[in-house]
Amino acid sequence: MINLANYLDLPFACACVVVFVILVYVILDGFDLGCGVICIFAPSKFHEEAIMNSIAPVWDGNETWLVMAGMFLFSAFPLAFSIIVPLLYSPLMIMLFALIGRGIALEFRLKSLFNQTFIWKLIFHISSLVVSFMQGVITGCILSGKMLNVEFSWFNLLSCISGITVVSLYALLGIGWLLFKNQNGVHSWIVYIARYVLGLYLLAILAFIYIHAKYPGHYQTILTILFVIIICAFLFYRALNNKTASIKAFLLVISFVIISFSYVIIHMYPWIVPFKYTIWSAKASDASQSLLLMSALFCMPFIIGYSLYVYYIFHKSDHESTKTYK
Amino acid sequence: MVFDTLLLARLQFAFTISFHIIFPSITIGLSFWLAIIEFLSLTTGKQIYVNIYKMWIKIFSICFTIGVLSGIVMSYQIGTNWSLFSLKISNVLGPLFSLEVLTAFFLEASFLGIMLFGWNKVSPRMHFVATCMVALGTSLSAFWILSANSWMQTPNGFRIADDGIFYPVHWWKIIFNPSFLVRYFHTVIASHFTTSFIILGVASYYIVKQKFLNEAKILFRTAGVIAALSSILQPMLGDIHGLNSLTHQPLKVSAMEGIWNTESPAAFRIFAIPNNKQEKNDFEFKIPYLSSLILTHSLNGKILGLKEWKKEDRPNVTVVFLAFRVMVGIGLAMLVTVIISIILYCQNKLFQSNIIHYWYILMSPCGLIAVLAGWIVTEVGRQPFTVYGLLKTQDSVSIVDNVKVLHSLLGFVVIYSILFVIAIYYIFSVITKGPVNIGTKHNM
Repeated sequence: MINLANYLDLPFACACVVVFVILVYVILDGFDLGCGVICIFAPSKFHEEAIMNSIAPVWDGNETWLVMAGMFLFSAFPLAFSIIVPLLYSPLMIMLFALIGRGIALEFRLKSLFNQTFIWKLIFHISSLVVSFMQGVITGCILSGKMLNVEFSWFNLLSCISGITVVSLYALLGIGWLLFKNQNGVHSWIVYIARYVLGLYLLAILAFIYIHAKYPGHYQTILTILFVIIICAFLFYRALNNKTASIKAFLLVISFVIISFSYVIIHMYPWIVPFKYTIWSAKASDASQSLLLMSALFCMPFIIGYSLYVYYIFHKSDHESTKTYK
Repeated sequence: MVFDTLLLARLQFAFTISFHIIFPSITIGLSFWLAIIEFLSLTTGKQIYVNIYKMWIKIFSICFTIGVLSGIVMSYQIGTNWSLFSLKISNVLGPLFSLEVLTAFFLEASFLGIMLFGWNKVSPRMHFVATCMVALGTSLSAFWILSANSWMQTPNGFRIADDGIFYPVHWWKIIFNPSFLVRYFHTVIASHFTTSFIILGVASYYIVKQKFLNEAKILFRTAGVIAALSSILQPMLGDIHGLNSLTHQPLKVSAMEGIWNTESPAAFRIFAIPNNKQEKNDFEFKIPYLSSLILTHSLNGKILGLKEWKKEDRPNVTVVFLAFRVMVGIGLAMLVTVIISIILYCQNKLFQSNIIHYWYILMSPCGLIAVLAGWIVTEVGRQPFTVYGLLKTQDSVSIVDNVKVLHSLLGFVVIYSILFVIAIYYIFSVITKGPVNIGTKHNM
């Protein structure tokens, strides 16, 4: 059996892959969940259609990164997976139900069932909201470092604020995506709500950092993070007013994601189950991690390749195209 | 019966996986058939194939999406409810599940977008490639999942450490474990067989209603060939599967056959109701020598009786025995239907409304029932183990409050039931609307 542990720090490499997969997931499914969060505020059917049509061909592929993240965690760090996942039973189950709701709402929206797209829009919105919130709750619970306490309850102040942070972050991603796609005619509405969502995100992440950050060693990094966030927020606000196809805004939101995520990483490292197991103590066997790493490295270029191809095909924001297969 | 965490977790898993398996069983066969239809549309250039494709892709889309969503549930359930199992076997099975996502799941989920929405955005050839990629993805998914599932039945290529954790020793032996290939082909052909009968049921509906007759003929010809080939292959694969199980899981075979005491030669019980408590069969009706003939291909083959094994190591014989008969019974009925259809086709009577069309309409979901029955045989037959002979189910379950599991179980029952009803309602509306020409905008 091939054993890569002789050549590199295998658990660290696998952890890097997990972080990469989660990051890609957050960016990709983040924007289609974000579209779900903001769709309820769409002022007209035209806006609704524009939002839905922009995500219809790609949401299924985006969601796959979530399965990848879960499976990779299961395969590479089984001890962590088997401890954390049952502790997060309720938020995970609620998230799964909401994921089903989101998928079904998107799937049935285009079918002329019940002749009432409002119901599907509502289900889509609520499901996206719940999924985003629960993912925030899960992140907050893991970051709190209190999961192994007897008194642990998943619904607490920190996890709720974390939930709101993720909801607003995903909404920002949705906004960034729609600006990037430059869907016909929705630009002014998107820019209008973007200010409120940005404000909510900044409030939420500041509240989160305030409640959570208690470790003196991290104050410097936290200040740097806050500084970068404020700069990006300012640049994002400026980019909003730029009418031309704005990939700038989308990239800036992605920077928000990377920054928020780096906060998570800085606090987690080297723990994967705070504060009991590190990535080295929770690892799978060397042979398993070796096969995992090789499979991931081999397959990723293909996955990224054909995913980019699919995005490229749908790049021309054709408002009509996703209705054709009725 | 105590509704403890173990029982509730088992009920939840049984329910969610049964719901889930319906959809890949349809999509594996349907994606393959859609590729054939699209190929025919490209080579003949006829609009009728396009119309058929565009109608059936709506059905495919629903089944695929529900399959994906219920599949995501399975991948997280392995952690929420079966965390001890996860901990002990992830070194061995983890990479297999990850490879499934990396090679198959991404492929089918990504190209589905082009398949559904890419009509005017890519060339007709590229669209056909997308359809083929989705079909390939579904079969590749089945490959890895069945490899993992077969390893749980006939584990190989591993060692167990003192702490009870399984470690991989030889990847080829893990992936290509003794029962994998036969179970893989048996499952894939089952999917083709199942889907062909669904398509034939719809075609028969059109013939009975005397509408879309040309389309119905195409459905009959294409799905009919698949049904005919499957009806030959599936019994053969079932036979090989039986031989394989006799070698590696003789206890399961004895349960399937309802043989309590070692018999040489062994009779075949056409019908019985096995009595787990009294370790005998009630209302037994049997044919002598037949079990030996089927299982060992000789008239004197010895089949061990269930009593040769400890009672606590045996599965629920009643369930395994009856489910097996349901599966085989339906399979035989499908085979007979195919034979009669071929005879009628040769007499040029197949496309006139006939009693066989009503039979096809009735039989259209029967493949799914057979698939479910078959899975019940193999999975309930594996009990009380999760890894056959090595890891018991009771040692695999998560330590979670049983009230939580009850809530999640109820949640799944409610959501899946609503989903099922909506999906059926929609699929029926697509079928009754039929393969109409949608418009000239979508020439291929």
